[in-house]
Amino acid sequence: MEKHSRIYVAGHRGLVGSAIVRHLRAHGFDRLILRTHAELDLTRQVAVDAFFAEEKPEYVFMAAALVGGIMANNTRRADFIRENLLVQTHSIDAAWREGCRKLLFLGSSCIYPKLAPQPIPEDALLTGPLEPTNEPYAVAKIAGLKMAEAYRSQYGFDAISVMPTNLYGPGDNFDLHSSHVLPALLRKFHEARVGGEPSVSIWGSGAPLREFLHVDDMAAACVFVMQNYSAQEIVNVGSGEEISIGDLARLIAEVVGYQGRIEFDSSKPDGSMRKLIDSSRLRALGWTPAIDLREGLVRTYEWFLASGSASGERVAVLE
Amino acid sequence: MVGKTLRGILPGVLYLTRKDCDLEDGAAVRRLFADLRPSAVVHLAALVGGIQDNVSRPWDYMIRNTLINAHVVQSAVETGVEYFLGLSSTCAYPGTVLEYPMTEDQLHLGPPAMENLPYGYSKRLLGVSLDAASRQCGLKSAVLYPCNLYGPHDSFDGHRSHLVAALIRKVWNARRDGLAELPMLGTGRPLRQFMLAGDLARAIAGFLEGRIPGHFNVATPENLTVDAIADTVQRVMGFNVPRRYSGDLDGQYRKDASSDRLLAVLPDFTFTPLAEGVKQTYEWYLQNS
Repeated sequence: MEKHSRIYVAGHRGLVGSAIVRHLRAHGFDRLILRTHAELDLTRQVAVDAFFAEEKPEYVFMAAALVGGIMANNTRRADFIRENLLVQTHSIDAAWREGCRKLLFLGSSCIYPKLAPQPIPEDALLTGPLEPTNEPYAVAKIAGLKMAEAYRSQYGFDAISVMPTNLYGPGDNFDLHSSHVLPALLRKFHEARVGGEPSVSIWGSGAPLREFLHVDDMAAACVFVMQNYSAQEIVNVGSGEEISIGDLARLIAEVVGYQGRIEFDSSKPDGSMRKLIDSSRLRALGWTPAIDLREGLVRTYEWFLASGSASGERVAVLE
Repeated sequence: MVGKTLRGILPGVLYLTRKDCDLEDGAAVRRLFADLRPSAVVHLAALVGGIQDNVSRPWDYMIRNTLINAHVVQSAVETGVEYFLGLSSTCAYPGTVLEYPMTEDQLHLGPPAMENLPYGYSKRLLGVSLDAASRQCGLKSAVLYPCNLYGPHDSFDGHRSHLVAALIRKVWNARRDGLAELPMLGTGRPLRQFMLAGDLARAIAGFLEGRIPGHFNVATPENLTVDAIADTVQRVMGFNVPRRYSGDLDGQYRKDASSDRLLAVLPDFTFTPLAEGVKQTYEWYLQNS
């Protein structure tokens, strides 16, 4: 990938896509090809074919997907499997036919079996049943990485796949109902500070361990593998740092400046006790994350405040 | 009272009290809006009180309400708030108009009642400010003009409480002291609309949901004499001694407002009958005093 290569970032308004665009621009890549959903509907094959025939991108970052929290994944099961299968199938195929030199497919750590060993190595793929709530999404993602694998073995297409851990950072979804644990906590503590609430209650015991990676690190890793890795095996992208939900809550409270009490509601479910992926393959290639969790949270909170995400559909009542 | 009632109807909304921000401090209001960046604002904050309090400290009512309103509307304009709901009062209306019940188009046909002129003008100015902000800066807004309110969370402490809350306390004390008559101030003849605060809260939620702009009275159709209101309170509380009136501090004879415009935009809206609302309020008083 060179500074003047034609690079298509699919999903450039999403959390990862926008971070990839920031990273590429910051490193002097100046021929980025970007299309909003309104300009190009990737579920429509005719439109996708016409786009690839016209632009002939040399490199493709496949960061477009229908994503959501547990609720959305569980209730819109058909949407999640259809949209994701259509988007990735049309894009990967058109990219190959129009002479793309390399494609990076973005998966998710939810492709791994529910009861996979921790930390989860890449070869845990397809060794057991998936978490049922987001199975349609996971199955679509597995189909995507298998398609990349098959196009490599049959057509020699240089398609690679990465599986990120939990990501956070600028561009995240801070909606209290549909967001992931980290942005939800950040918003919760922000509102508690602004509202002067004496305590914040967290679901569960606070004991479960989770792994988080700043999305700017994820973008750097994507560009790194695009330039340094060409093989069939998928690659996990994680920070390798585990933190308990309790410690995460305390860290976020500190970053946000909330000084009230933090209470853990153990009557609420904890979810799985540990979720960590094994990123030793990526480490062996020579890539390590650069943003530690505290610094990443500070940046994310600054973005949260500056972007207007703090408002969303926010109603303030002045009494 | 309205804010506390609204909490039960509109959860998931950020409620800010004077502990969070001194709205008389313009810089603090600017910081608050910059920090929160609300998309919609419901502005209920004001210095409010009965006639006595209005008469004894007119400057406080004038300056504090004027500053609060100016700061809040200004910050809303500056931070691009999409919808602003401001709470005015039927006190913003002229002290007398030619025809009752008062409709929104009579708002500027004379000065507010003399006994609360500063408060009335500050509340009228809120509507004028929002119209100006709407015309020049595109701030979409609604201004509600509620009649007198009562309900759970009301102030029952005597000198700052309104008629219904004051009556509940008065009847309670009279029964405790075994009085044979209920002492009342004034003549009992003025007509008043007293609305359950929960009704106003429901109206606020309806306007907020529909992002409906404009000026709207929110007033119960029950326009009753003070004497009839006292009678209702006594009946609900089961203490039916005669009422004895003294003095002549009556205030305006009538100031009833029409809710026709409100009902045109919220056709399913209903008002809680006074007897039912007083019953709820008395139950709350028993549990919380």
